[in-house]
Amino acid sequence: MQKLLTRNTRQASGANLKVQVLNNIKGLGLGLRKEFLQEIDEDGFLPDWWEIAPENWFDMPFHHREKFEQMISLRPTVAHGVALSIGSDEPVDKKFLKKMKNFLDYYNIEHYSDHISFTSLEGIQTYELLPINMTKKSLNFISDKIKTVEDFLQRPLMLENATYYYLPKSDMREVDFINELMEKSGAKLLLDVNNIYVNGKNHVFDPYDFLNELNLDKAAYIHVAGHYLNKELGMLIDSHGVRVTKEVWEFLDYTLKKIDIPVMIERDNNIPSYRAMTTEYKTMQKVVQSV
Amino acid sequence: MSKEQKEFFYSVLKNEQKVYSSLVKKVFFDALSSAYPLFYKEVDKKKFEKIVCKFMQHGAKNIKMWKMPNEFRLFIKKKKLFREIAYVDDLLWFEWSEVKLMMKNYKTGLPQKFSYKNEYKLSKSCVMKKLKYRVFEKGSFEEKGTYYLLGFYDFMEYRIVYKEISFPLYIFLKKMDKTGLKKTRKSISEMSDQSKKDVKKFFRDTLNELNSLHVLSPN
Repeated sequence: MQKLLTRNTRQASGANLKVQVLNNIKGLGLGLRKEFLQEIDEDGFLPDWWEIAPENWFDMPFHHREKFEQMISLRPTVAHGVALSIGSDEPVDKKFLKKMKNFLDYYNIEHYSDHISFTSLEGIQTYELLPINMTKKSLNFISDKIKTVEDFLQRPLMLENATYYYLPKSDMREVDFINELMEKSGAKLLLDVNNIYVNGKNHVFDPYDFLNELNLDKAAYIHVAGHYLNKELGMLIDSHGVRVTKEVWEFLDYTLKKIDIPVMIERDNNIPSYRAMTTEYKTMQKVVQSV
Repeated sequence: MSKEQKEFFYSVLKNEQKVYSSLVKKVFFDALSSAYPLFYKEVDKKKFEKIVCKFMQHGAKNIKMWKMPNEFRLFIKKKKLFREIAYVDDLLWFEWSEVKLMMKNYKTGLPQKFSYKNEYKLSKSCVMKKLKYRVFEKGSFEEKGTYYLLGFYDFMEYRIVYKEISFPLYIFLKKMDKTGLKKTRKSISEMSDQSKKDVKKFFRDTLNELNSLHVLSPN
């Protein structure tokens, strides 16, 4: 890994910014998936903290409940959702927020995040992160929605910079949109380095320049994940279903030279064994330790 | 709501957006083929994809993605799709019931001893259905008949168990769930010309077993 990282000739400028946004979340995290539960041994390897997809646990299947509760009692946990649909031009779904609040309160989970995107409209779900118009108008609307969410949940909201494969009508650059949204709403940024890399390649901009323009003191923690080239579509697809590429590890290394915040590895599709994820976690550990 | 966002959203669902339609289609396809593995094995793959697109366009409403396959099942039934597979409704019900039982939360604790003095209903850890096809047995899907199936979460083995049950037991459990144990005993006794004592004796061991398996829940 060290050898691999030396291929990155970029030098991160500026001081290594230390930001402590997340109480009790330190070090390296891993997504806790149902598929891992039977394999995890409480005396074996455990990450520093877990990230969970709350919507998958709203009904809390009895089949997984005991192990899930044991796991989140052993490590601090962050909730990372997909169904908030903060970017839709509709008011926030209060019924959904109530379920979310009940869940977060019940398990005493302090930190909650979702994506700068939308997934549903008029009650219809796509279960996919769709791109939003990056305009002043939508910025103001989303900012108000963020405040409604935070008031309702009685927690700060973190939002992840998402990938997009189509850019709806926009009058702002993505980086300006994110910076202004974080500034105006007070929300924190869940910095996904893989998404910046994928967007950079697909929309022909330099991910390093993008990162340099981001207001990193708004960043709470970092996501790292895998992507693949879909030849038919002619684009990199942020699948969260394959191993992290060396380019993204290099980009993470560069990012960590600029900001010292927790990092976690995400895998949502093609879930491998917990053992395989542990190996990837250790690669992440090497990258972080080498900074 | 902005016109542009709405147009984009529905064009994704209508399969008009190259990348996003294909991504959403994949999400639906993966969720449905893994919720219905037996059905997926039986069905024409191209037709399945086509129907998945139709369903996408129709619109899935449940925010919990694991419940979306049930919407698909009801969509197939309502729109009378895949009618060339005679047992489609039974098979989709059977596969969905397994997902549903696996995904529910249950309160546990040792069941109290069964007694005819108590009232019971079917617990939420079980499902029961009259089927027209033998979809619960591999290789026998096309066997037409009348089958009574009981499925439940096995709290000892942590898995879903299915049992074919007799018609009298099916009727008994169905009535018990609606009207309670005492009224059911009386009504079965009247229906079958058996004394209440005989009805009690006839069902006692089975009800005892079902109670120990958490299929019965005290009311």
